[in-house]
Amino acid sequence: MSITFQGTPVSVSGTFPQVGQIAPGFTLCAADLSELSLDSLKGQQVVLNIFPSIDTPVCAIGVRAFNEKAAGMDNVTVLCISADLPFATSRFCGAEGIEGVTTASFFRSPTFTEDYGVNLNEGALAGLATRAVIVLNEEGKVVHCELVSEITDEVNYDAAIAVLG
Amino acid sequence: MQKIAILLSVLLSTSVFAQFETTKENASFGTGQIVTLEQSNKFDLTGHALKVGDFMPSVVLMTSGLKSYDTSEESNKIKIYSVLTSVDTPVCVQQAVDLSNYVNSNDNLKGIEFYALSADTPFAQQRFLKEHNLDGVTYLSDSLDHTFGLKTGSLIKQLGLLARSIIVTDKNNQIIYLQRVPELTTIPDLDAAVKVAQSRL
Repeated sequence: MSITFQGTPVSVSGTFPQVGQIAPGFTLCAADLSELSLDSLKGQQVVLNIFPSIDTPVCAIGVRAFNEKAAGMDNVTVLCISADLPFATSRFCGAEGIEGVTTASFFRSPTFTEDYGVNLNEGALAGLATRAVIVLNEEGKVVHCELVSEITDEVNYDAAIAVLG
Repeated sequence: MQKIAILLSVLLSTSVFAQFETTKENASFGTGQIVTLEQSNKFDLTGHALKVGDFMPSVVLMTSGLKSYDTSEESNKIKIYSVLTSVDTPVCVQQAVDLSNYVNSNDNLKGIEFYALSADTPFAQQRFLKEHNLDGVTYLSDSLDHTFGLKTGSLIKQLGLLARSIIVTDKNNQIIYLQRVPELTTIPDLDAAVKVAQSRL
C-alpha cells in the first residue's frame, strides 16, 4: 500500500507483519536505558504503538489515547515505539503524567523498522518509523494490525483495543 | 547495566539550573578511546577517528527544520559543530543555551556558521529550540543510524549517543580544530574553538 505524508507519497520499506504471523523478535531501549526484548513480554498481550516522534502532535495524541484506553486492562502491555531518545519520551511522559504505557526506542536497533515494515527511508522523516499499530496475543501472534496510509492521521485506537481479551 | 542506571540518574536528576564546568581537556575520537561519566564510569567510543587535517566526512543529516544537510557540502564558510549528547539532558541544555547566547552576543563572528548536532530526533530538537527560544545555530539530527557518530568516532558504543565535542572546519571542509571532552559532564571550550575559526577568516 502507498503511504503519504501530508499528501505526498513517501517510500516505506520492510515487511509489515500480517494477522496470523508470529511477530519478529526485537530488542529495544527502555526508558531507563536498559534493553527491552519482545521475548520478555511473552504471556502478555502486547500493543505495539509505532510512530514517528513523540514530539509531534498526532504521536502525542496516540500515546495519550492508549494510556487512557488500555489503562487498567489485565495482562496488556502497550509499547510506544519510536526513534526518540529515551530522554525525550521520559520527559513527555513525566510532563503528561503518563504511566499506563511503556516507551521503547529503536535508536540502538537499526533493523527494527525494516523487520516491521515501517522504515521511512526518504524525505523529511527519513530514519523515523511510519505510523502503525500491531496487536499480539500471549503467544506473540499478530491478531490485529493497521498501517496508517496518511502519516498525519491517527490509528484506529478502538479497533486495536477491541481485539484484546 | 548498572553503569547505565547511574548514567540515567546523573543525566536526568541533576538540576537544569546547575552550572557545568567548561574544560580545556581534550581526548581523541574513535575506536579504542573511552569517555568517562562522573570520572568512574567508563564507556567506549566507536567509529573512524577524526583527526585535524582530515576532510569532514560526508554525512547526510536532517536539520531540525527537516531539510537535508550534507556535512561535506561547501559553503565557503568556516563551520563550528558543537556535538551534544541529547538536548533532553541538563549538561547539553547548558551547552546549547551557551552556544546560542555566544552567537547572539558576539558581533565578530561573520563568516562562521554554527551547528549543533545530537542523536535526538529533529522534532525533539524543534521542541527544545522553541522551549528555550534559541536561534543563531542550525540543529542537525544524527538520529538515523548514527552515521555521523560512526564516521567521526564520536559515537558512544554502549549508549548510542554522541560524545560531547567541538569540530571546526575551514572553508574547504578540512578539519582545523577538534576537542572531545574526556568527561561527559563537562563542556568543551567554545571560546578556544572560535579563536581558531577567526584566525582562518
